[in-house]
Amino acid sequence: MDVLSFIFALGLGFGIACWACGTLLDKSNNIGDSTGTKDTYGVHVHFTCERRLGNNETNTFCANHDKPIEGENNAPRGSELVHRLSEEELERYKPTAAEEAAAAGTLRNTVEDEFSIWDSQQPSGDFKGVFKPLDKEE
Amino acid sequence: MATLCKNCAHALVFDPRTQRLVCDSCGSTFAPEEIESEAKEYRQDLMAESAEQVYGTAEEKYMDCYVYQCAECGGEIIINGTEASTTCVYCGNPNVVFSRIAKQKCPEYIMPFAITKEKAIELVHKKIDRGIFIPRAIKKFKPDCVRGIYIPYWIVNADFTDAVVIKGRVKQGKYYVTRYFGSAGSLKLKQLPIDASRALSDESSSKLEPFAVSHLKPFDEDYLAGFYSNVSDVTYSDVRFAALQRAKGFFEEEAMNRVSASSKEVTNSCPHIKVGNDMAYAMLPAWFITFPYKGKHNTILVNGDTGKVVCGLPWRKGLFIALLVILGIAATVAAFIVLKPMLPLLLTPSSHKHSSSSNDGRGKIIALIIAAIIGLFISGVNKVRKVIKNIKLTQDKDIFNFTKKRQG
Repeated sequence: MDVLSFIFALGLGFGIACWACGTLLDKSNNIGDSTGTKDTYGVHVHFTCERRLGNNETNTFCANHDKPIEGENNAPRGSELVHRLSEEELERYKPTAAEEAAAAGTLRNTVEDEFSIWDSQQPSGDFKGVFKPLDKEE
Repeated sequence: MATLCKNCAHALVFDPRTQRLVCDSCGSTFAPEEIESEAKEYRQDLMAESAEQVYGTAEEKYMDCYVYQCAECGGEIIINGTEASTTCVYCGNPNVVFSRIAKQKCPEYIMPFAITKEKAIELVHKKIDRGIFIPRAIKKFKPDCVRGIYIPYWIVNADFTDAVVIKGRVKQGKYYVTRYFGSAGSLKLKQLPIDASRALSDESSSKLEPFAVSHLKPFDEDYLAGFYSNVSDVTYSDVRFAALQRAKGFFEEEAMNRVSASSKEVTNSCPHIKVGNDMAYAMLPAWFITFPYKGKHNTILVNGDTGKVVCGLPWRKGLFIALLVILGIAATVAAFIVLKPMLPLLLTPSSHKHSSSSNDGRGKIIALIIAAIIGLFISGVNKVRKVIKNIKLTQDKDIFNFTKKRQG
């Protein structure tokens, strides 16, 4: 029994010493080891779903809740060097009305909404209005 | 190009203490916004030529070397492909490579140095003097090189969505079982600074945070006088990846905090990020202090705005081991004194009628002791590993070259 007590005491003793020395070393020699946190940047995470998963859901949860961001790809990308965008470039990468509406979370329920979005997406040529969707009265 | 004193035509240098441009020769001071240099437009066309063009050689040592002419003495200044301001090695005057910060390449904001060189060294000494495991030679270090460098950053806004599966251990009756939790949601990053210099690792630069964005001022090249600076050389992929990593970290941290389980880890995720086109180009200040120790170069970073010191310093291994052994023996003796009379009571089978429940309780105590031993060792070893990782970062050759390989 004494041997067992000694083994446990040895483990606990050197465990405590290891933890204490590690903590002291961290405080002494590891200076400024921190980065900006959520609070630094005022990041608020908004959760839309939080629940315990069944065994059959672990592989499907991500796919079911995958939510691509509208206009995610409508931005300069790839190996191009980052630079201040010119007026023309900003215009080119500007989100469309549909994307803006989606980003704002508005629902396009009314026919008027559909018309105004469709109009805004048309090129300013002679074909404007040719393929316009049917008016609700028509 | 250097900004010259209106009174004596000597090159002006920005003084972080007074936040004004100072003339070392006649003592005049000027607010950066007061200075209007007539030569600035002309200098926009003065390019730095590649060393290969100038010397007609394609030697490897001249790769990424550019030759610029000192505006004051006409001497040749050798700079790398991303330097925007430096000091002339011949006359010591500050020089700004205007062509690299002109027009569309011009940063929108700058955070002027608020910490002087002397203050930065003092802050480092204050920090390291307290360290019991820091060798005396380091405590009395004499800086080999101290450079104030403006690091380019892109300040980004971004939208982020993610759905994660978290695996964790939950207590169910007597046992712990593995359970899975799902969290889906979104977050917005606002004014997140992302290091735009490839030569400096993101790991080092992120430790300089936080920077007070409210201290940003509209860019004026006069703030560069007397300091070194680099221009952005990252791609859209780099910025997107860096923003994604940070947002993912914030999201997973919050999601895990909200799950009541132990040994949590994210097993699956599907992140999406949209970095806004409204990125702002800014130059943020940092002091880089290098010193040699046992044949290795160490570089300490100091945030030029807040004075935050960042480094992992070599340790006195002998003292550490001695303390570990002494503490270990002392704690072992103390634990033995407590456990010796306690353990026989815990392990001896009870003849009492409720023996099964009391045996369970004893089993739990023994399991708890074993778990505590393992936990203490893991925690201690992890802390030592963290320190070693940061020492490697401080002794990183890339960060030393980023600091040292500049003129002046």
